[in-house]
Amino acid sequence: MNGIDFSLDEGETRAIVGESGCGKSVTAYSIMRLIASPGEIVGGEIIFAGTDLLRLTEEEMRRMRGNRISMIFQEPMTSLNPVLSVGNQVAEGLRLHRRLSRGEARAAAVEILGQVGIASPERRFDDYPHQMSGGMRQRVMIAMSLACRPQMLIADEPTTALDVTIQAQILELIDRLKEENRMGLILITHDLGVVAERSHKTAIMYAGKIVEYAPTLELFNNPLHPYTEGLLNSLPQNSRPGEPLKTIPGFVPNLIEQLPGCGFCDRCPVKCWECRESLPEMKEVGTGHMVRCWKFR
Amino acid sequence: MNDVIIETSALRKYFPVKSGPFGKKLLLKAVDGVDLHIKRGETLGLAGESGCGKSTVGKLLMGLIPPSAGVVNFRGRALYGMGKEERSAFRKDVQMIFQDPFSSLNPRMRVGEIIGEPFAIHGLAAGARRREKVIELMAKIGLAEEHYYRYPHEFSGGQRQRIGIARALAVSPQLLIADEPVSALDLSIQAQIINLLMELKQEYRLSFLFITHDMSVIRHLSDRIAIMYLGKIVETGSRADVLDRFLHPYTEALLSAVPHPAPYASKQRIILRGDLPSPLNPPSGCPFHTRCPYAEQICRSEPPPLKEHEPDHLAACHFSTKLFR
Repeated sequence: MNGIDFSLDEGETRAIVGESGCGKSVTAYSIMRLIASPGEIVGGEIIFAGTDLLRLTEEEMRRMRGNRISMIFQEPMTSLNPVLSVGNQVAEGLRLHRRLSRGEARAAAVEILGQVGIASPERRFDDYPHQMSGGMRQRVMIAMSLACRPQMLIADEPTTALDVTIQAQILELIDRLKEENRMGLILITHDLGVVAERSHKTAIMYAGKIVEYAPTLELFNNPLHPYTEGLLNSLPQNSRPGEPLKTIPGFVPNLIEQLPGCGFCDRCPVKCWECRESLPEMKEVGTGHMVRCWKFR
Repeated sequence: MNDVIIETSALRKYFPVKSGPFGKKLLLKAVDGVDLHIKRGETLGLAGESGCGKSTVGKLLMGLIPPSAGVVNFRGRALYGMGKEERSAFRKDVQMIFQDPFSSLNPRMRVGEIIGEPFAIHGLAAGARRREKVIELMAKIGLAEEHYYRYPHEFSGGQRQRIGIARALAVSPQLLIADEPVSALDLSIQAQIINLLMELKQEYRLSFLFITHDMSVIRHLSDRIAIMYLGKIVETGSRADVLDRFLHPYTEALLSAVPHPAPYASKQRIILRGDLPSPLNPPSGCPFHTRCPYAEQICRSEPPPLKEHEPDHLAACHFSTKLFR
């Protein structure tokens, strides 16, 4: 991940879209300061409600996480503690951050489990993760992350592991809770369909960099970066059944051999002479429409 | 019925499952009475959510697991009555492409050996001639000759899926069973593989069983579609019939749940309540009644038969006509 500029206001949704390995999850982990060694944040700042998260001590950051900033992880199967009942996992944050007593935390956790659509939450409180289905576990994850009413929620592929009918339930739930809590939401996904329907602004990432950032409607109607354009064109929905799909040739580069130029240049149909030499800056082309490509200068 | 390449009738597969250390034996009805057929040169898309039994159908058609009841007929011959030689010919004529391009290739074999192995197994080509054929296949699926001596770990997911496809094509099969062949791939790579499969289908006049949960992929590839729910087919018909003129509330909900990549395309979304019921303890009557927004009393008690409502368009719902026509 490399040189990300991004902003989010209260009550808004931002999406980060990209393919596997493009650095979108790393962006989220950086905001949460959860980068595992040997990874390191080597520069930049993350301003949350006026404070630079990168300057906080580990202790201060811990008070932030799960409290004012929260995260939903991709894998509901592996992100829960298998030897702790789901209710206690939800209550843990409340006892820690809100200093609630055991009984109060239990009551609050039951209420939240009910809000995220778990039937008979008092009874399910003492269940363990393995007793629940994938959709249920993802609800528990959401309940955990929302227990302390955070101001900002980061959802990293919250529905990728789930079936479409369950995905629709979960996305609707996140939307509703976002409205109720006036929460800012960062949605990380590879699914352009999920993005199109619920984010105000969308960033497209490729090879560790944001290559385009625009209001979602504008991005879909008027994609400027050749990668965004190729991605949208390659959707089966944008071809007639049975016709060949429009493809982006080549494959996703690995980030270890980083070249000086634009990461997309090997697959790009346009290719200017500078592409291989140096990386273009993000440039504002329309109102709020930023793009990183030598086509626009 | 000459042009039907494979068909099943009343196909069932039950797995015995023990619940708890002293629990009684239960039957998991993964596939519960499935009738389907694929004609020569046709692509049948089999769709449904995880756990609905679609992969088990694929395995039954491949002959990888024996059915608990019912028959699979391949070109009019019962799969479980074939002699040794016929069986071996069947194994050549029907090939499979797997979902996970990482675990379905032997990490200790070179690409050339992986693609060449079917030639060896069926005694079709050896030595220099085998190598020549392998390289020809590699060119067809977009790999260079220099890749012959590489190992699978040196390739990306999309390239590995190409290797799996080449291996399946090596023995000129008539039917390809593809179980979620593109779901593990990145979006920009998915389109490449879908195109490759469509080209190869034309070139080799292949029949396809395409198993997936992705409704946009299935719309793109299939001639006919079957929708499965809890081990049963709930609707089947031509692509246009099933996707645009559906007759089952589950099909409707499944299609409505797919997010559309068009911003704020406001549409009325049907949100199904609840989870897929456990196949160990399926609901009485219609299997879908616990989540169906239109369920009535009869749905809880009477299982609806899979009925032909229009020519070649079947649905298993008591209220198909009332709801959708």
